[in-house]
Amino acid sequence: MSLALTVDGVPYEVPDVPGNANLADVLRHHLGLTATKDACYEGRCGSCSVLLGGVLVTSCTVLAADVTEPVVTAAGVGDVAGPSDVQRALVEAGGVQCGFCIPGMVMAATDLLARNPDPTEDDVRRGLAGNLCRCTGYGRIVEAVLTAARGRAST
Amino acid sequence: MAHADDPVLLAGGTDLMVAVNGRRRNPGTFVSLRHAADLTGLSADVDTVRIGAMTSYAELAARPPELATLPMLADLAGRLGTPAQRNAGTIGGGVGSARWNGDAIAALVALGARLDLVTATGSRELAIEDWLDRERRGGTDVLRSILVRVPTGPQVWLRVAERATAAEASATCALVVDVQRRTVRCVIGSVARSPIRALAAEALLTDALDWTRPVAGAALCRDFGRAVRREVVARTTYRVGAEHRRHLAGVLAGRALTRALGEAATAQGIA
Repeated sequence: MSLALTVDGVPYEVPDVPGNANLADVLRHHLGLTATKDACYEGRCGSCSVLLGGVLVTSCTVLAADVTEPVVTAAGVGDVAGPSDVQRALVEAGGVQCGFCIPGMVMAATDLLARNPDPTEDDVRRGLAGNLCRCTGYGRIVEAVLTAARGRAST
Repeated sequence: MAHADDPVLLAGGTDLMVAVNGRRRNPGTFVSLRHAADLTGLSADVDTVRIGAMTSYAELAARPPELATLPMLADLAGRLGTPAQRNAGTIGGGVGSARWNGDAIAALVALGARLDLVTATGSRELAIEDWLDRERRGGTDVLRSILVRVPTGPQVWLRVAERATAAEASATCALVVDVQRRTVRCVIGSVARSPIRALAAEALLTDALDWTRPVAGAALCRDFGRAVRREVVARTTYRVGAEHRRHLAGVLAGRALTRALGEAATAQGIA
């Protein structure tokens, strides 16, 4: 089947998509948009997190054919030339080691700060609870999100 | 939410898409319920709350005013899965997939929920316990909403899992005490193929309580937990053994009663 998707503000026509394909596979394998990672395919690890119509979801558990809202990935939040405050804080805090989980972390943190601009550490840990990192032990990631929140409060 | 394999109803995807990704299911046709207006929204009257099947767990966890009389469901919705799963997952989807370790099912059984089903010729209501019996479901029925008669007493839902997030529960306990009707419902989830109502323990508690001032002392809470443990027939999975699940069920039930009707709880006017 052919799908019409808007990803990071860019409209796409995606031909030859299997009817049961999930959104993560379409982003990565049909569109070549590899900012979104794929790992567990069970919605548990959070590496494929995106915003769908402004709502945080794991794209591996979203039926691509059911998508009508705009999709925002970590590449749409910011890039190397113009990182978002969350992305910059992650780099500066040393929150990025192997980096595989980071696009999902960026999406979960971006969603959290949009809903709760003044989170406690506990709020951040709960907000990121669906995103697994096997490298950092989370401390610096949490610190980065709190730093980003403080930065927003001071501007 | 109908159990016919093809076409299959898509009500969030947090269960179904996992099965599709794992090639355990391969539907030829998906019917998305995301935009079905009849299946959304909550309403409440004097004694009944109606929850649209497509209400997400995140919506329930936000404690909308219609859910004020069912705090157990809001607690549950805020604790299951991950933030993304709570955004996508729906309570109707949870009922429809009826996974043996789905968190919502046991709580809804404890609340005595009834299901409002749209059938090929009209509609019908079915007790959730009957829905769990596949023979009685009706292959083409679609779950429109969940109806819960509000209990007049404490409701407690407890869960234990290997980790707080994104891990199936090793056991859950939902305890609902209806003081006005003098009934107790205690349901253990995530230990067997279907939720287990601890009927003997319920009877023990119903007989033991002074219903004019229902307070459960430490001995009664302990005995209640032991009675629940005796009733539970649990399954072993590769991480959690049957005996451990039975132990957890008893501990959770004792704690649930302490929280619901223990001396400290009743002194604070919770009950």
